[in-house]
Amino acid sequence: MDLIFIIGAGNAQITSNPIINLAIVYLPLALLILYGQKLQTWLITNDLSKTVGRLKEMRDKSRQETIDHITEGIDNKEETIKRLDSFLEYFTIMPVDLDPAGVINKLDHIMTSRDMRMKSEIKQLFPDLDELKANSVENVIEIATSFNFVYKIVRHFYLVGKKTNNFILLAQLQMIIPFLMLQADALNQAMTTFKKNQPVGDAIGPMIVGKLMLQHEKHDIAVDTVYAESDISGRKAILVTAKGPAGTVGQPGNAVQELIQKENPSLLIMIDAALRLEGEKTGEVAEGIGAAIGGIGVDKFKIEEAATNNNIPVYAIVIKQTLVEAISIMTKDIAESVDSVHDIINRIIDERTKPNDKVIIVGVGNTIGVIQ
Amino acid sequence: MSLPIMGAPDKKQKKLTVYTIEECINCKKPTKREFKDGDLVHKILDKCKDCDNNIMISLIYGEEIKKKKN
Ligand SMILES: [Zn+2]
Repeated sequence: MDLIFIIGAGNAQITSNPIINLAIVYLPLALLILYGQKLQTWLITNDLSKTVGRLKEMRDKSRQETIDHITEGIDNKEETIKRLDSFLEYFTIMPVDLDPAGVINKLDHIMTSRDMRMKSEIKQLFPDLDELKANSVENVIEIATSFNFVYKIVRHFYLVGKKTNNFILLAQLQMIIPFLMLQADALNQAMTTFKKNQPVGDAIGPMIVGKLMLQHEKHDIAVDTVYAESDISGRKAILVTAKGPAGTVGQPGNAVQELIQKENPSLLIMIDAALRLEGEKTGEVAEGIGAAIGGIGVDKFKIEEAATNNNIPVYAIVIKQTLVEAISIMTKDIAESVDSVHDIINRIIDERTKPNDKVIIVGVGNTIGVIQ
Repeated sequence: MSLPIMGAPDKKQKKLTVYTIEECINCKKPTKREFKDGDLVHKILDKCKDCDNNIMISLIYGEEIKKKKN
């Protein structure tokens, strides 16, 4: 019925004057057919230029906040700002994966050297900083670097689209902009949290395992990673997590590999934050199987390999949250999942192991603001 | 472009206030106050007035302030 109406509209006489009819009906129709895409391109370009401007503002704010944070009580500000600007342009070149055998080792090597370089340069720049503040400086610089990167990529595609008047390119950019802004937003909030050393949503894993580690002796096992031994219903529990309260994820891969070699446990339990789907509730706890660990894949690979070679089942417990929640201040729903996860750990150990067995429990995540 | 598994941005940004929960490790009575610089989860603070055990920060979290309707 609608179709008939539209076809009929072509013959519609709005007034009896044919010139006014032409101006109202056919002229706009012809203009839209000929210049419709131009108009749309113009609208999208306008919209994008606003967004790019907002991103630039956010980037500049993050840079300024970083400067304020790291030059707090330092005389040589000029030099520091110059160094910071070179930090913001730091890049990492991923190893070639045409011949994928052994690529994990290369990746591991590159990421470790990157971390080491960053750490030593910060130490050189600010020799008097204590470990907590040095780590917070490192985290804040990393956030500002990510911000710079997001902004530069968006600006690149915007400028290419504008220069070539490429409607499709601009439309694609406009489609993904909300998700890039989501990330920018997350980084913005992360900055505040990391500056104050407050726990982020991702710290829930280290917090749950860290609580079990209290009053037990901690030993270093890998870079920024500690373990402790405890007793859970007659089983020897080996608790592993990154070393807080500094903001670090540690090296759970290396730690678990070594502990599996040394202790030959009968079960591995991993606790991590996981991305929740829209419609799921923040702080929801779910159980599953497999190595619950994010990141670039090096740690996951090491844990999976060690578990497979020694035939150890890997149980996963995850706490659901959004990307923004994972890197900004921990919300109440996430924080209050601690006790229910402890109950699940106890249940799994009771049901799946025998007395005197050994169990490795890993709290995965950034341990900022959490003491073990 | 892959499907946006990371979710959609919130229409309104939530304003969160950060709170610190202190708890005596023996009598478990929690007290809630606003976050102060230097607060860390599992940090030991003073002694408990009732039982002379340590008071520890058990949680630090952000919570939305709900406006009271009059
Ligand atoms: Zn008490």
